[in-house]
Amino acid sequence: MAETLRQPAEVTHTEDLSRLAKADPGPRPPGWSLTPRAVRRFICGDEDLGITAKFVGDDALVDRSIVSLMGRQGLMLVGEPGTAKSLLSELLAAAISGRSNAVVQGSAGIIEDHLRYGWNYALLLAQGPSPAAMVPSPVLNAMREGHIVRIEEITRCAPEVQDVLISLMSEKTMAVPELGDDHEIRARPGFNVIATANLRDQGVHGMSSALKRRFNFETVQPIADAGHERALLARQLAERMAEQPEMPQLDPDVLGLLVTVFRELRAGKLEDGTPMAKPKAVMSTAESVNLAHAALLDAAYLDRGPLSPRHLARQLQGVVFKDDPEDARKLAAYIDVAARDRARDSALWKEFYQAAQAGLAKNGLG
Amino acid sequence: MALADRLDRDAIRQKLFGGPAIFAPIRHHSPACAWALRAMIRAHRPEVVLIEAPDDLAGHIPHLLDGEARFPLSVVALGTAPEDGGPRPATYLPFSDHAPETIAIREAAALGAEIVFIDLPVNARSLSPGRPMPVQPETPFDQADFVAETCRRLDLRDGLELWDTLFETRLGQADWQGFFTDAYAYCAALRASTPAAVLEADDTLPREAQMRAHLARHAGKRAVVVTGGFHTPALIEGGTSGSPATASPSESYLIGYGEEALDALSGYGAGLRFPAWYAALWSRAEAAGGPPDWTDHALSLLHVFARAEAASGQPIALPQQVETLALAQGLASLRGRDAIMLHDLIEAMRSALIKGEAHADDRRSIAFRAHLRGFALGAAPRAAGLPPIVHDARRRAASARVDLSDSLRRSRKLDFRRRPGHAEASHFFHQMQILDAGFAALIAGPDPAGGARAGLIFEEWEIAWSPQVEGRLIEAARLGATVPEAAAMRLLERRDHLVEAGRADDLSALLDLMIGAARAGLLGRMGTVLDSLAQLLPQSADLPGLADFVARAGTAALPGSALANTDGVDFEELTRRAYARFLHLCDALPKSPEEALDGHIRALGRIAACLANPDFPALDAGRFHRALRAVGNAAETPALLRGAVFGLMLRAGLLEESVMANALAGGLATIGAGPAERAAVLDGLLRSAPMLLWQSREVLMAAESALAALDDDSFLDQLPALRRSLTQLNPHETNRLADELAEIYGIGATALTVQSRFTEAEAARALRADRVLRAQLLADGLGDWVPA
Repeated sequence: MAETLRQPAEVTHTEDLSRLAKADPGPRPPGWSLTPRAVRRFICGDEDLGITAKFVGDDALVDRSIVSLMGRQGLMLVGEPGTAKSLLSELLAAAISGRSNAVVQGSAGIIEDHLRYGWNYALLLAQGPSPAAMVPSPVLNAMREGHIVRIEEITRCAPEVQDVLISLMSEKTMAVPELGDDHEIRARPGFNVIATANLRDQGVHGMSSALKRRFNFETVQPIADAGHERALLARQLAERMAEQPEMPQLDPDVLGLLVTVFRELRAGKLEDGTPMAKPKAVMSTAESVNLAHAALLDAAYLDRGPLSPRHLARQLQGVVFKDDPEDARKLAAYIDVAARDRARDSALWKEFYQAAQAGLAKNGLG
Repeated sequence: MALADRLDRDAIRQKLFGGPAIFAPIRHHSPACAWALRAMIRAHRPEVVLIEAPDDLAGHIPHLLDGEARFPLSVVALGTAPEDGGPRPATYLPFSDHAPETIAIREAAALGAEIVFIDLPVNARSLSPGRPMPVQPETPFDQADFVAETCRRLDLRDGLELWDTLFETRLGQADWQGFFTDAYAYCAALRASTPAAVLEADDTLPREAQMRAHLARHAGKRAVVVTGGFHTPALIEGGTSGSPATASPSESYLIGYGEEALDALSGYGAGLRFPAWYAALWSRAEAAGGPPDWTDHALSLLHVFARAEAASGQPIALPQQVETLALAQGLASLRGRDAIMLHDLIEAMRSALIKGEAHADDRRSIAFRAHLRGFALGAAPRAAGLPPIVHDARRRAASARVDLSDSLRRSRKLDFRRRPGHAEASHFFHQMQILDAGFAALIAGPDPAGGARAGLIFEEWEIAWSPQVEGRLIEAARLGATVPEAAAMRLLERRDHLVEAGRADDLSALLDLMIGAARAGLLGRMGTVLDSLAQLLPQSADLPGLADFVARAGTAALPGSALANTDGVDFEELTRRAYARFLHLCDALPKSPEEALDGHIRALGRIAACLANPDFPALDAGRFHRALRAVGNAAETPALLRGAVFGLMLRAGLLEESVMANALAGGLATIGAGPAERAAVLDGLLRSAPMLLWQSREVLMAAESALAALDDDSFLDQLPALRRSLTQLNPHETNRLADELAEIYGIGATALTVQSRFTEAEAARALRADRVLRAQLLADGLGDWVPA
């Protein structure tokens, strides 16, 4: 058993990173540990070097992100929840700086100190303001050492906290008046900021246009290609189940069924174009991985058999019934229309339909 | 280039440049190809230059060389008219300033070489009517498997980016042999990965046979062969062909073309996207006499865009422009290009200028794409000889102050009732609409015949001049030399079609023609239609048609109508004539066959509604009332019709409520009659004047007590027929009736209504059942039963 649940990208993919560093000795932007092209290969994959793709579906977006980070602008990844914004930001930081763990996790509780610096109050009282008494933020560390810092969910921070970044990003300097009038910390080459933001969820703040101007925006879309999505789902499941001793067989058709259900609910229309009510719940790929993972554990430990559509159906309600009761009715209609039609020709869909119906009946919706 | 290894390249060079006739495999409208081709012609000094273009269009070559010509231009060729009388198929052969074909013609003329078009003549090709088609389609450049696979390997987005990366970046370089060698290797691979079925699906193979036949005629001469690279392998290796095929000469004209239409995606379907981008690149390379300064090109394009955005109130700050350019440069170099190409700039624009979630259809992206596409319009030299109708339309458009220099869509408001100039413009726009020229679309304005918004004094139009407009005018040239002439002719043609279709007495269609003509100021030319109307009206036996005519023509003659003061045709007089005939036919109403009753009742209702409008052209209401009385009193009048007529009479104050009530009660209590017959009077009343049921307590009580008097069995017998009658009420009317009944019985109206509760799942189940039933009916060959 591993000692941590999840390692940072630079640890999980150490081999890929070192192989790429060797394979592409070309010139690197100052402060970068790989060439821009190698960064691209690390993320989008390279068959010749045996590097798997870690972010699929939009290579041009990766190109633009890399180029943005070479310049003076920060990179702002926006998009619906569960579109792998954080994954992309982690991969970029790991490939460019060799470390992805300089992170500020945005929330309503974040204050300026978390983006600038705080103080060790015991030392501060004993010695007065001194570099030793300073507690630097991940941002300050990144400036000093010249690497990428990630700010997750920036729109969850209060606007006045976000504003700390404005002058910091244009001047690439942080003043520390407590240590003297002209004490300031200037960023070393390699420093930049990747922020992720959700522009539509509840409880998020707006961004000032001054801050927006300091970032290049990239919109991460849900994966457009069903095949890509299925491959990603299979890979992420395999990663999650790597440490489980009893990994049941994964039937690609079962995963295909799950991807179809998610894609149709997400888009609000069936594959044949028939429109249907779209649940408000987030039907992202990440959510489908969670669902499949839970279903897999169910299959492996409770049923002791392979993953089958009935395990998926059992978990599906949990994903969809999150906040809006109307969603449950929409799911019931979907099961009743799409799943039932397909159940006639496919044993997998039949099993899915029956299990989902049984689950809905329990909730009084069947 | 990794496309071909050294040996292959030598073999290709031998194929392309080994004989007296040398080959230039090009992509249409590619500046890089044009540049290499010019160097090739200057080096080879051919006696003859053979170009992929329909051989019957060669007559336009001198006009392409005319100093007056302003590019882009296009030859538009019309195929033969389809048998069903639809529009003639049109095909376009565009020439941009930077098209290899244009350069080939100019260079050949400078050398004094013969210029030969070698493609299949227009009339020998399969043209589909309706949609304009490119003469030289180029779909494989985007869709072949080879392109998809190469894009994947080189990390590029699509066929256009691939072509840009491999070839357009070489614009201005001197090595034409190397360029065409690579272009050939690329196109040969493209062809090899195109399935045979695709080649056989269109005219590709016969076209190539034609090109080979022309080549054979010039065998042994020093020649340069300019064709799409996709065809070059078939010309070199395709063996010999007989003599060129001939066909009847096609009708064709040289017209000004537009950048918007030239765009491979929006209009013409061949060549490259975003012509303005490539046109600017070409001028830069020309000015530099070699490779253009790519960064400067991107910079100036961006700068002009920023200026245009600022002018439309969406300025782009300088640092953002700098960032866009820096990003574009970074993307180009990440993708292994020295030059900033289209994709780099478009993507950089998106990253740097759109602050928020980006969508393909956000305003700035659309504006930027339009900017790259361009709006410039070319103009054909006068000597090229446009049909007179195009000149006429241009002259009229100019005097209506329409901008003919670009293809931007603009809106235009016309005060057509008060200002003579605007009235003239309105006529012109309507005429162009009749010709279906795609020039003007009426967005808002009065509807003179329907009566809706009849009092509006403005018309709002959206207008845009484009090459397609000229194409459509050329197609319409056979109808007349001027726009009004052709438009009137088109209307008369429509009348002829009516006659051919056996609808010569279709009053409604004829009236449509007249109203269309009136709005376009063409009534003076509609004498024959007017004559036939004058003959038809006193003979028509179509009661519903006459009622419709009275209602619509009368509305057109209303004092506020846009057509009220139309010279020449008196809509009021037409209305009176139709009305007279209508009354005449009313005499025979009591003998109406059952299947006609519905239409007749509606016709009576329509006329009654017209007469209720005090502004309606003076029609003698008394005569209508007399007619109603006669029908109502006639013994043989069917009960349904009697119910309807009584309803109308009651509303017009010609009948006592008690008579109506008696008729209702009598009908419902008729002994020996079937349920439908009993309900017929009520049914008729519901069709012509349902409001009486809640407006007249006596009528309602009569119906109610007649029903109450029925015993249970009779009531149950009667129920289906009653239900059918009452379904004519709309939900609002049902509610009114329910309120009224509730009041009579002293209970709340809600107690009478049963609200149905369907869950979504139930509704879905019902839909599914419906679907299954439909499928079963279809499977059983009972498709006629399935409602649309």
